[in-house]
Parts: sequence; C-alpha cells; structure tokens
Amino acid sequence: MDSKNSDDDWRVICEKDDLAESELKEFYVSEVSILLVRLSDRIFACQGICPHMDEPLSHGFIDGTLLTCSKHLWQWNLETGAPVGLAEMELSVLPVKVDATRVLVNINQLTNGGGAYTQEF
Amino acid sequence: MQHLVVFDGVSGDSGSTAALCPDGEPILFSGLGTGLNLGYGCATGTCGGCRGTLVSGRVNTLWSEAPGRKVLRKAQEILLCQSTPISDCHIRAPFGQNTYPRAVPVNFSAIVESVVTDGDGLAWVNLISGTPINFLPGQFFLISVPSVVGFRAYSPAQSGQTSRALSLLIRKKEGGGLSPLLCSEDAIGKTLKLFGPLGFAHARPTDDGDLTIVAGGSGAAVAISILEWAAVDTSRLDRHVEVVCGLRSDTPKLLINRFLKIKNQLLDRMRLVFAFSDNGSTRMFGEGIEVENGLVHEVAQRKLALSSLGEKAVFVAGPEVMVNATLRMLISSAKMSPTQIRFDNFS
Repeated sequence: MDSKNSDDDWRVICEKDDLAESELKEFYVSEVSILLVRLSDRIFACQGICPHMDEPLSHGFIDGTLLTCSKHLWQWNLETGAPVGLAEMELSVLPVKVDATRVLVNINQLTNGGGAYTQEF
Repeated sequence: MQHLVVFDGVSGDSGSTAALCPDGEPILFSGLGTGLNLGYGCATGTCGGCRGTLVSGRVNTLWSEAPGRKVLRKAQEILLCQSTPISDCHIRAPFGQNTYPRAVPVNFSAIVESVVTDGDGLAWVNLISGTPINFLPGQFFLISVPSVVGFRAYSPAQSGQTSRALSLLIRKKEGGGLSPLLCSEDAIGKTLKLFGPLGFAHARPTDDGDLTIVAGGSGAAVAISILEWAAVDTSRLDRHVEVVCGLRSDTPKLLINRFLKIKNQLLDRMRLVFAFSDNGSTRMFGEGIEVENGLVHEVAQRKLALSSLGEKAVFVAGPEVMVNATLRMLISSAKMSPTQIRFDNFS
C-alpha cells in the first residue's frame, strides 16, 4: 500500500470476478462515482465522471490503457490520468489493491493526476 | 427590451466580447449571432455543451426541465441556450471550436412549401425562406413553431450554399413535439422560426481531401449534404468519398434515389454501401452499389478498410445509439484519432 494512504481510505468495491475483461464498470462509494476496468491481470480505478461535461465514463471506450469519453472524445492514459489528444484536463486515478477475492480502492486521492495506481493479481 | 451580455474570455471574429440580447432570446443565440466563438452542442437544452457561469446579473430559465441541466454543478451555472437575461449580465462562457470559418448564425423565418413522405417514417420537408441562407455541408438549423416549446435541430439534405430553399429530411417520432407536425401535410404554408447555421461537423471545402461518411436514419441528410457538395466541387477532382448509409429498409425510395444520383455523378470516385437493418434488400441498385444486412456501425466495420482511413476525415451522423456505436468502433477498432472524427453531439 502507498504510505500516504491510511487504512480508512480503502473501500471494498467489488469482487475481482465482478470485473469482466475490458469492461468499464461504474460503482458508487459514498455517492461518489468511480470507474473500474480490468485489463488482463491489472485493475485500474479512476473518477467515474468525465471532468469535462460530467458524462459517465462507463459509457466510454477503452483501448489498451487509453480511455475515451463518448461525449466529446476526450482521452486519457489510464495509468497516469494524463490527458491525451483533445482532453484539456487530467483524470483522477485511484490506488487499487486486491486481496484474496476483493477489489479495494483508496478514494482518499480523488484528485487529478497521480501515479500508476493499479494492482496486479 | 435588450440587455447587454458581456462574455468573459471569449473572443469572436469581430473582436467583441459582448452581445445585445433581446427579452426572451437565448443568450447563446445572441452571442453566436454577434459572431462570438461560443461553445455548444445541440443548442436545444439536451446536451449541456453550452454550460456557462453567471458572474453577475439575472437570467430567466426558458426550459427548467432541460436534460442538459444535469451538467450544472453550481448555483451560478446556466445553459446559455436555455437562459435569457432579465438584466445586463456578465457570463463566463465555454469556447467554441474555432477550426474553420463559418457563417454567423441568424434568426430567420421560412414557410413550409411541401411535405413529401418517404419510407421508414422519413419525410422531406421543404422550406422557402425570404432571405438567402449560407451554410457549410453538414451543418444544421434549429426550428421552432409557436405551438411547441423550444427548438429542434435538423440538417438540410443539400450542399451548403447560398439558397432560399432548405430541404430537410425528418423522421416522424410518434409522440414527439415537432416532428409529427412538420411531417404532416398540415404543415404546408405554416411559418417556422429558424436559427442557424450551427454545428462543427461540417465539410471544410478549402481543406478536405478524401472523406468517409457513416450515417444512419435522418442522419443521411448530413451525408447527402456533404456528397452533393463533393459532386459539384471542382477544386479537388481527385477526391474520393465512401459512404455507409444505414436504413431500416429499402423503402425510402426518394432518399435512396438521391444517393444513386450522386453516385452517377461521382462514379468511381464514390463508394456507396447501404446497410439495411431490418430484412436486408433484394432490390437491384445498380452496378457498384454494395448492399449489406445489419446495423450501420457493424457494416462499416466489415466493409471499410479501417486500417487505411489514415488521416481522412470521417463524418458520423444519426441517432444517438448509432453514433455512439460508430464512435466506439472508430476509436477502439480503427484506432482513429478523435481529431479526425467529426460529429455533432446532440445528447
């Protein structure tokens, strides 16, 4: 776990098997939308709503780690949250860890930018 | 009465940052009509693309239940297309796409000259305006009538040019507000209020080379508009266009014949694929016309050489579900850059 995260920040979001490969799946934690996507043996998490026009990113498309919002085709690198192409704002990416079967996300860092917050399993 | 609306941080072609807005007129219309480069999508309250912040002044909301209001995050945020000032205002507004010179949209009226029913619930609604209208191929206009609240967006199915006649392809939506009225012969002789031209997903006559168009339903109007321009444009006689047009069936004879007529003009410079979603078609369309069964985005994925789309502009027009599915295909399968894809967002 990243040292700057406290245990209280980690929330159980779903079972690992709830995430189908490359499916963009939206969850709510304390009424905050987050997006989870499983890419091969890695799980990524980020804010669930587009920072541009509030479109649910679960309506978008994923190609490798390139996430595209369906509304105006803003794109981000899901590993870093860095904007790509038309996008003018970063995406908040969130730390992920997986225990035996569960996927946990640290929602304390629901801010822009960050590192490659993924968990391999 | 008019109110002065000052737009913060938006520089229009005229260099002005202010517009006079009459009582009852959407702030968006006044700003665009003054030549300001404001951002918007549908301009009818659905998409939220014209979200701005009211820094000072007071406005009335024209449609309090506009779906686009879901994007408003703070009390000071407003939709410019659904707000009209009741005092002088200062507004922080979204930027538009300043990618190509476009005609400044204007308010005008037009009379319904004829209504001709086609297949698949489509109708050709032909308008005549008192003043010539100039627009780019693929742009759209907003239309309203006194008996129906708000505006609806429709694209002319004709090449963009200075013309008094507008030919709209409209699908009659049962239970809809305006389309059943416009698609009825009762509309003939009625006066409509229009605002336009609008939209960013248009041909760029001085820039565009080869083009690809994926259109479905009444979005075929956009395809016809761009194709008719391509057919008469003599500046690029080496331009190739490929079109995948999705229809429910082969019953819209008038629409299909418009496509065939353009194909006869462009010959081997045009590839035409019809995608029929209901039962396919056994009709013989002529040499070189490809006929497929299936949804338009699926047919486009099968038939277009996605790896060779290169830097071509790709236009996408049609119902929301079809547009989203096509965008997904172009981004995920064809690996296209969003900068190559032109579509106007209405949802």
